[in-house]
Amino acid sequence: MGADTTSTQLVFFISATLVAVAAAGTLTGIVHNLANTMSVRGAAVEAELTSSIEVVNDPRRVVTSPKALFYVKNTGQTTLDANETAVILDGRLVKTNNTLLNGARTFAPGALLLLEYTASAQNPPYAIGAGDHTLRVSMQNGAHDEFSFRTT
Amino acid sequence: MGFSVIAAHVILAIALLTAGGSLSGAYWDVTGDLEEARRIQHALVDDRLRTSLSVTGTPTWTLVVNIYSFEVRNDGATTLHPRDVDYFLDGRHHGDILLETVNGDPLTNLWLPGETLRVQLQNVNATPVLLRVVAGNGVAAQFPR
Repeated sequence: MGADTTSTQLVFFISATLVAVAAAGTLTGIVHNLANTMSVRGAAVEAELTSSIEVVNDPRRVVTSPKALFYVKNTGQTTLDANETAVILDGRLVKTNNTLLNGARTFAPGALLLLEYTASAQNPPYAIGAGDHTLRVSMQNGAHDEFSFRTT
Repeated sequence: MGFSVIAAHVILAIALLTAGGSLSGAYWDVTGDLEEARRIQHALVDDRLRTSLSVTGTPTWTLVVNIYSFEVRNDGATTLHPRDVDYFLDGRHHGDILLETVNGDPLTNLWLPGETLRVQLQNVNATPVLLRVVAGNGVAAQFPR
C-alpha cells in the first residue's frame, strides 16, 4: 500500500468522521431542544390543570358604585400572580386595581383577591349600567372563571 | 466495509442512543407530571361536588356592639378550613371576624362534615340584608336562600 493510498484513506476517514459528528451533533441538539420544549409545555399544562379560580361575589348584589368590586378566590392548588390578571367586562378588556385581602401576601390557594374597577380615563369610558353583565377573569397560566350578574 | 464507514456508524449510533434516551426521559417525566396534575384536578372537582354548606337559623345583629352572628353547617362530605372561609355582607367582603368556633372550639382549623361553624363579625354598622359564606374551595351558602 503506497503513501498515496494511505493518505487518501486517512482523508476519507477524517471526512466521514467529521460528517458523522456533525450529523450526530445536529440530531442530539434538535432532540435536546424538543425534550426541553416538551418539559416546558408539560409544566405549563400541569400548572393550568392544578390551578383554579372562582369569582365569589354575591350574585344577588354586586357593588358597582362608586367602584365595582369583584372578588376572586384561588380555589386551586397553585399560587398565582395577583397582578397578572386579564379582566374582561362585557367583552371589553378593562384595568383593575388588584388587592389581596385578609392580610395575604401571595395569591395562594384559599386566598381572596379584590379587583376594583372604575370607569376612568385609564379604562374605556365604560360604566356598569343597569342590566345583565358578564365578567371574565383569566390568570397568567390560563386559569379563568366567568361570572354573570345583573344590576338594577 | 471500510473503517471510515464503521466509525461513522458508531458515532451516529451513539448519538441516536443519547437522543432517544433524552427524549424518552422527558416524555416519561412529562407524562408522570400530567398524570399527577389530572389526579389533583379530579380531586379538586370531586371536593367541590361533595361540599355543601347552609346557613342555619336566622343571623342576628346586636345594635350596641355592632356584632353580626350566624351559624353555618357543613352539610357535605368534605373537611373544610374555617380560616379559608370568607364572608360577604350585602355584596361586600367583611373580614373583621370577632370569633369563629367549630362546635364550640375557637382554636381548630378543621370543620368536619356535620359540624357547625359559629361566626361573629364585628363592626357591622347595620343589619345586613344579604349574607354569603364562601368556603376555601369556592362553594357558597347564602342567607336568605
